[in-house]
Amino acid sequence: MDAETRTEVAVDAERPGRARAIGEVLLEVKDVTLRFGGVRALSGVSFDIRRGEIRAIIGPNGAGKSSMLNVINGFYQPQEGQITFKGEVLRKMRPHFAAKNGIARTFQNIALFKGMSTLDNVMTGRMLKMHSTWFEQMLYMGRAKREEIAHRRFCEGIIDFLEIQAHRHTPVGKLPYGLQKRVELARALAAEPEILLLDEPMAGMNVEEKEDMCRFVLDVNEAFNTTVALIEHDMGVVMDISDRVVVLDYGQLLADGTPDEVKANPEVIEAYLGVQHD
Amino acid sequence: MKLPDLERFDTLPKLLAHNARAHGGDVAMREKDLGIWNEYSWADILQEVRALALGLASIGVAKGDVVALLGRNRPNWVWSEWAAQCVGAMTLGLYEDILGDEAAYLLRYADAKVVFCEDEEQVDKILELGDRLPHLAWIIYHDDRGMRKYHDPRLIGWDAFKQRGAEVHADDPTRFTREVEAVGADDVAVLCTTSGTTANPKLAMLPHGRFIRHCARYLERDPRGPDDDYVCMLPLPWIMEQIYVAAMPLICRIRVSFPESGETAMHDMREIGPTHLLLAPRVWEQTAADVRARIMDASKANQWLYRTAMARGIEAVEAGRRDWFADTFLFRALKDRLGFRYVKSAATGGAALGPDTFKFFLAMGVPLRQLYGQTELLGAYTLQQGDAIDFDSSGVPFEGVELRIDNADANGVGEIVTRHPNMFEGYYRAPEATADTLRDGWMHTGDAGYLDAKGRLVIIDRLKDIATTSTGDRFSPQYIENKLKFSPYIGECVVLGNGRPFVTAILCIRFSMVAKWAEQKRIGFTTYANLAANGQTYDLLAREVATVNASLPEAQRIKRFLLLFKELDADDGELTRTRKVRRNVIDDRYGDLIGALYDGSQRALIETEVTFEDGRKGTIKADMAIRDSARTELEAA
Repeated sequence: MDAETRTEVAVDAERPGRARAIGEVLLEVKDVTLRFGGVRALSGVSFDIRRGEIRAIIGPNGAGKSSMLNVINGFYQPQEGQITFKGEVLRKMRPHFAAKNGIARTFQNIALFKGMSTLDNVMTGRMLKMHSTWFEQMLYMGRAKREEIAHRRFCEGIIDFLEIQAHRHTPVGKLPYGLQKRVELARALAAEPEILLLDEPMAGMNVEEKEDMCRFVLDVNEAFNTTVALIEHDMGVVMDISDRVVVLDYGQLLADGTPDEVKANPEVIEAYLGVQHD
Repeated sequence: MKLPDLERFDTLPKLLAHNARAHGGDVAMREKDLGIWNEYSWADILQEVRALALGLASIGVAKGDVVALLGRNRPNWVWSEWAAQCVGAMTLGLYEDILGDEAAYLLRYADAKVVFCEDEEQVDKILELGDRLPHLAWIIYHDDRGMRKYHDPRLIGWDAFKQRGAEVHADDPTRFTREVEAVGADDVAVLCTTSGTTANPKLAMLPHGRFIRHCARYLERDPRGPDDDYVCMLPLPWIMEQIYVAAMPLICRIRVSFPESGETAMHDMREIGPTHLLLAPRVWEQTAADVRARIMDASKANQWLYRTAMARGIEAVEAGRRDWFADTFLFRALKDRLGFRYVKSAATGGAALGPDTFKFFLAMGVPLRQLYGQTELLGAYTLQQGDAIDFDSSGVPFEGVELRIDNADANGVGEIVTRHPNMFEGYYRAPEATADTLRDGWMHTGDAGYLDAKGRLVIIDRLKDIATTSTGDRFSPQYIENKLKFSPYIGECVVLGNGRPFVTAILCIRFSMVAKWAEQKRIGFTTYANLAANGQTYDLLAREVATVNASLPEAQRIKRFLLLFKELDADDGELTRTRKVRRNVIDDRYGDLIGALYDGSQRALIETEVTFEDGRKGTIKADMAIRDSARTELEAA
């Protein structure tokens, strides 16, 4: 009687249309090498991210993708190489500088404040935009009050945009995984970033949640003209939504180009599928 | 409460203008947006409606044209509707989740000239239809998010459109009043879609005067006034929501509140604390199921309290009294928790609600009443009195409604046939269909029912759905389905057996509840289909079926059942948009399953097409087990 239902779903998906312009180079990493002791996480990687595009970073496990994001927002500091951000050449990025200058991110394993509500988590994304003093905030008057109202309005706009109104007051720890990912995206958006770094935004999601997330990433990109750099394992997602793809393998740049170019690259196929050795 | 002079203010827009004059500053509507309740007074609304109406006039919309509305429940939906009626147009509300082909059929059939769309999602549906809508000249969208990529010349934004209207008003300040005065009581206000359980929906023509007079009749039975609150949660295109939101507030000025989104509706309702409620049976069922789901998580002491108080409360309600213990320790807090604390009058309609769910809410102290009606008869025309203990009937007809039972059998059961002076004028562009249902001015409802000793109407089922087994036993599938649906684990079900030797059922699990149960039992599962196929889920559901079987006569007991791999869905045509089961579609789609239920097989295989929410289609193959309930009963015994 115990039945294993065999369910196969076949869908023919269409590539969604784009309606935005891709502009100048916003961020460029050049010859970046990152070592942890004797381990080379990245060796001499160079690529750029253009304003308004969706840029994917892909590669097998341990290829250095998350390290790359960490270098971009200054969490890791590379031993060699340089980063050019909005025309400014930096030896290395600092997390504070990154956050202040419009780089926001989400994490592979969600990094929210589990005990706080969705709304409060999103509000923390506005931290750097608040200027009232600690004392003013404590009294909640004058500038602090005006500021809080303005920020709350902004955050409510994002909550509306990402359709999480129903969970506004729920502690995020109680939300299902897919929604937590969405809250994390909301928090990153609250910082009004110019570049949004997404570390595996669709990991661990079911098909429906993935579709929703794809739509939100595209919507964010279109509505706010936010540049997106994302790491993703789901090749379907990557090929569908990204404009250009960087492929890393063992810390080295393997390929860089449009989804179609990357798909056709024999080295990429080898890295992903492996080749037979004698 | 004194109603305005309905002879003088004989159209909906005239009532609106009257309210704006006499009660301009009073709050008429509230809408939650970005976490805040925004209020709109009658004067605010008139200003919006005037701008929209003159905008419509400026693009040549006039008496007899059709204006369609497509979007979720929001004040602007209703304003657009009133605006169209100001210039004499007929409004056609489309269900928010309608798919391309259905929309194409209705818009083409009515030759809608203008469509108001909520957002990009709805605009997409219309644009996808391409040149299938030759009469559609304007698409007015409310929310401009994601709209930049479109360049269709028919598109115009909400604000730009209102601006057109404002310009007309500046040039000719009396134009609006002239337009409103030119529309009379006999002009059609609304083309209301019938539910269409068997075929494409038809459009019932509802003139202003009849609409208003019928609402007044309703208000005699169930009075409400400017200090009352109603929360708009049912689909606006449905006749009852049209009555409650588009017409009644203009007459009695009950305030209407619009939740932020479908998902937040129950929470937002609690914030409002409505005095009047109308919810679909499935919402009542879901609410009852949610309460029981939450109790499953509660402490042992609370579970005991719940069980004891609920049992005492239900016993008391059956005996026509209240139980102090249950009221004090359970129901007061529960009502507050659910947002039912201030409810003076609650109703359910659109489909039947099982007696057990009914008792659940009556025990709680929610004055829930069954209403009965049809689109053609302007919605409800019978309503339970509320004073007597009554779990079965739909109450007595309103003043002025004539009702008889045709072709009654020995038990007095026959077709319900009705007429009243304010019923619909006929189906739009379908005189044959009108002549077919409206014979000598009497509406043949197609519902089977009888009048009990106190003259109350009792509905059995759709006439054509009343089934007879091949052994000659008559039964109502809907009656058994409602019994099954009281189980918190059963979300939807279809009972079969017409012309067959015994009764069987296709059950859809209520995913939220069964998932919770599975978690507690540490049963692993991935998806709906996977959970529904689990042997232990079958065991659980078999126990539920056994409970229902115990309350049914032998011939009506469910002998075999299976758990469907998916939920029944309006997008697949299995349910109507108001969520009634379309039996002919079930018979077609699941013929193989039904065959397997009767040929003794232990499994049923099916390959079928499903429609996703965005209208794409895919195929699903599934292999389901069939359970003999008799076996479970034997094991239990």
